[in-house]
Amino acid sequence: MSITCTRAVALPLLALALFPALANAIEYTGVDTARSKIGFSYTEMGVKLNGSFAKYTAQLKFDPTKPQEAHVLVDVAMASIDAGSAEATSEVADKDWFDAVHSPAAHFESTSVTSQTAEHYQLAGNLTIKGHTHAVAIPVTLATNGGRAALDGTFTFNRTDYGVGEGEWADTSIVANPIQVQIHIVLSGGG
Amino acid sequence: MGARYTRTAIGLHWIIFVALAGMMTLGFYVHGLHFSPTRIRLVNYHKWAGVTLFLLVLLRLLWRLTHEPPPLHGTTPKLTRWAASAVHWLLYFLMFAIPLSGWLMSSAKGYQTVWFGIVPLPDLVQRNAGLGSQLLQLHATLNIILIVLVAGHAGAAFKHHFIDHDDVLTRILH
Repeated sequence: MSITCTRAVALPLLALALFPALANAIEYTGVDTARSKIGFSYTEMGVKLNGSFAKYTAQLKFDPTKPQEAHVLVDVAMASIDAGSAEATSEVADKDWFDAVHSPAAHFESTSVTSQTAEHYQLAGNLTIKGHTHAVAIPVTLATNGGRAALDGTFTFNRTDYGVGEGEWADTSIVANPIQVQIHIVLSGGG
Repeated sequence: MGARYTRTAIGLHWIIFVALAGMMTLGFYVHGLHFSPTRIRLVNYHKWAGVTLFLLVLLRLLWRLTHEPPPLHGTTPKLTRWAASAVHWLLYFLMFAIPLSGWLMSSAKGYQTVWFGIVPLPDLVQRNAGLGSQLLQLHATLNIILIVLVAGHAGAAFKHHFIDHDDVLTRILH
């Protein structure tokens, strides 16, 4: 009887010791948007500008031990942009840039999440801006600190693929084509 | 008579005069343009030229501090002497302060100054839209003061030439 009891406790403990990943087999179910950040940077005649989006909503389901089941959906309000300078910000809601009246949000929806290591994941999905959809791959790093967890990643897209900066702005010798996006997503609902 | 400006001093005087006139024209013109690729291009040219001019002004200041200019004529009244000297040093101050205010304005507006798109200058102030418009005001006001002082400076030189018939104007020509 006592031997059976000990074994019942000892086996899971042994399993945890051997597979520490199982110890934090917690599923995150949301995003703390107040602490998260979506920033971007671009170059204008050799000058780097840093912008960000203040408003977005995110749905997330992510269990680090089962990345294949993860799903991420992000909607970014284009009108909440800070384009890096006051004059750029006042311009970019315009038709040639984001056409925020007709395309108020940019969407990202994951298609697959794969793990490279316990900290490194590849987040693949479709990014839609201004009606143009293209596949993007975002390498992300999971950082856990006590009860907190966050995903950090950067990826680059070409603005002209999405019709961002049309007409006279299509000239990439002024505003360069690559836009680097930096995401910092604070996960919530772990447990 | 006798005492002369160095060739370097004469060269710097006229190069900087022509460059400043062009920069001011470009600056006021660009200020009136709508936000567009052309405006961004011209603003960047203005900043690149501004950094270059700032370096030339520093060189000129250094030259001035190490090379005594020819003195005014002994007959010049004390007040006139003082006014001439005050205007000269104010002109140096403005030639230094105007590009500096432009550099700071650029940083405050969120744009680091990158000389010729290659050499980044440090941002001495953080991005701050309010400070940016104040520095724009300052940059424009300093330029208007410069125009007034240059007009007075040139007027005084013409007075020496046409009324006093002395060499104060011609000695900066050759």
